[in-house]
Amino acid sequence: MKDVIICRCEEVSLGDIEDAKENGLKTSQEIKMATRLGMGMCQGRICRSLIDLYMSDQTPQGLLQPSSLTVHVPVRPVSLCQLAAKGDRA
Amino acid sequence: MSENLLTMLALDIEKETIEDVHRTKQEITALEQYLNEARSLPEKKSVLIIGGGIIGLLTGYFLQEIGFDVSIVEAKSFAAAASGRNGGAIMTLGRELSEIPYSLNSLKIWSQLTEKGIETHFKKNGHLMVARNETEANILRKCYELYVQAGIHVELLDNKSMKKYVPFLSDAISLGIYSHDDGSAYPFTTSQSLLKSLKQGGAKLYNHCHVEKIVTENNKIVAVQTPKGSFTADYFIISTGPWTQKICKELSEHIPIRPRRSQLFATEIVRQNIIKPFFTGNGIYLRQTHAGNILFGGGGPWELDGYELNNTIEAIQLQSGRFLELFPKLKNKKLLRTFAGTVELTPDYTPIMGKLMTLENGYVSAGYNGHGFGISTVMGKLMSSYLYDHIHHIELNNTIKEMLNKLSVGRFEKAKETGDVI
Repeated sequence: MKDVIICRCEEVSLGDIEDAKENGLKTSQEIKMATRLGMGMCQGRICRSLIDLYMSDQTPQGLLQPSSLTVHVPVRPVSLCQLAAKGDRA
Repeated sequence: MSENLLTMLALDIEKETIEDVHRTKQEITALEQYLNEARSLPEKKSVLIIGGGIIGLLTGYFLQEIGFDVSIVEAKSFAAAASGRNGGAIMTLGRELSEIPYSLNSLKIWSQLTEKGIETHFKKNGHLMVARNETEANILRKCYELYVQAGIHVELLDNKSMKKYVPFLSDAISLGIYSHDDGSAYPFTTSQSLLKSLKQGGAKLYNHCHVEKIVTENNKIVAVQTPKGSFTADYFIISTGPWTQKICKELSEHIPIRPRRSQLFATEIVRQNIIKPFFTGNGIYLRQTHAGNILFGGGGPWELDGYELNNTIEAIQLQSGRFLELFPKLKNKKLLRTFAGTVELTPDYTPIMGKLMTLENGYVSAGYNGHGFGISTVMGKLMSSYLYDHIHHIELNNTIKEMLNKLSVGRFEKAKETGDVI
C-alpha cells in the first residue's frame, strides 16, 4: 500500500506522505510543501482531492472546507513567450 | 531601457573603502573563531522560541547542540511563509562588505549541516551576476576589485566562459562576475529535516499554536499563553520575521520591521543543469532547483508593503520578459505556477539580533531583509552562542562586541525618542 503513487507528476507515494506526517504536519498544504505533491505539471489536478481526503481521515473534524491547498496563477502551464511583455517597457 | 538593472547588488562601490575591506577580513576570522568556541551547558536550562520559521528552527537546532531544552511555538505551519517561499540563495557576491562575514561563515555552516546528516540539497554551485551594458559592466568591474581585496573567490567572465555555467545565455550578455563559493539550498527539505532532528533531540514542537499573550513580571517573561496551554522557560527568543514588530510592541519593545511582498515564478521541469549557478541580472534572480524547475523572481515598485500574497499580471509579464531577454532559447518553456512570500525589512537593512531592551530573559532574531534563508545557519549559531555567553557572563572580544552592536535592538532607541525614521 505504501508504494501507491498519490502524485504522479512528482512521484510522491503514500509512504512518502506518511513519512512527512511524522513531523507533526496537519494540513494538506503542509504535506505539499514537505513532499512536492501537487507541484508538478498538472498542479495537483488529481492528487489534490486525494490528499484532502486522506488528511480528512486523520482529523476528527473531517474534511477541511475550503481546502488548505493554495491555487496559483496561471493554473494551467503557459509558455513564457505567451506571457512575456512585448515591446518597450516603461 | 534602464541603464542599470543589476539585481541583488547591495554593495555600494562609492561608499566602501579600503578600511571597510580590512575590517571585513578581520570580522570574517573573528566570527569564525567565536562560533567555534566550545560551549556545553553544564546545567538544565530551557528556551522557548516563538516563531517556527527557518531562523527559529536553526536557532533551536544550535541551542539543542549546546544542551538547552528547546520548545518552539509556531502560529501556523513551520517554515511556510518566507522560509519556504524564497529562492534558496546563500551568497557573498552582491552583498555589502559588512554582511560578508555572515554570508561566508554561513556557507561553512551549511556544509557542516550536510556532514551532520541534515538534508538541505546544499550545493556550492556558485553565483553569476551579469551585466547587459557598459554602465553595468563598469559597476561589476569595481565590485570585482572590492571582493577580490576582501578575499572572495570571484572571477570576471566573458560570454563564452559564462556559457559553461549557463549554456542558453543570450549572446548579447558580454560580461559577468562569478563567485565560486556561493551556493543554494532547498528550503522545504531543509526545514523538514531540521524538524526531524529537533524532535529526535527532544525538542517540543507546536504548530498551529498562536501566542495569545506573553506574560511578564518584574522585567522578565514568565510565560507564553497559547490555545494549547501556557508555556514557561528560562529564556525566550522571538523569531517571528515580519510579524515581530507587532508582537514586540505589546512588550513595549521597539523593533522596526516592515513586511513587503516578494513574488516568485516557477517553470516546468527542464533539462538538468542548464542553469548551474544562482543567477542574477536584468532585474531578476533565478536558479534551477534540484528537481529541475527554474525559479525566478525579483522585486520592483509594484510590490506592496504588507502581508498580501497575490501575484500580479504586471510582474508576471515584466519578469517573464526579462527572463527571456537573458535566455531567449527557453521561450517555449512553460510557467507552472507563481507564488509570493513576505520579506521583512528593517530601516537600515541590517538584521536585528540580540537581547530585548527591557526584558532580562527575552531575545529577538528577525529583520533579515530577504537574506534570511541564506544566513539562517550563521544567525542561528550566533544567537545560540550569544545566549550561552550572555547567561554565563562571558566577556566578548571587541570585534564581536562591535558586530553585535550593529545588530542590537538598542540602535533604534534614539530614533524611538526623536521619532526619526532611520
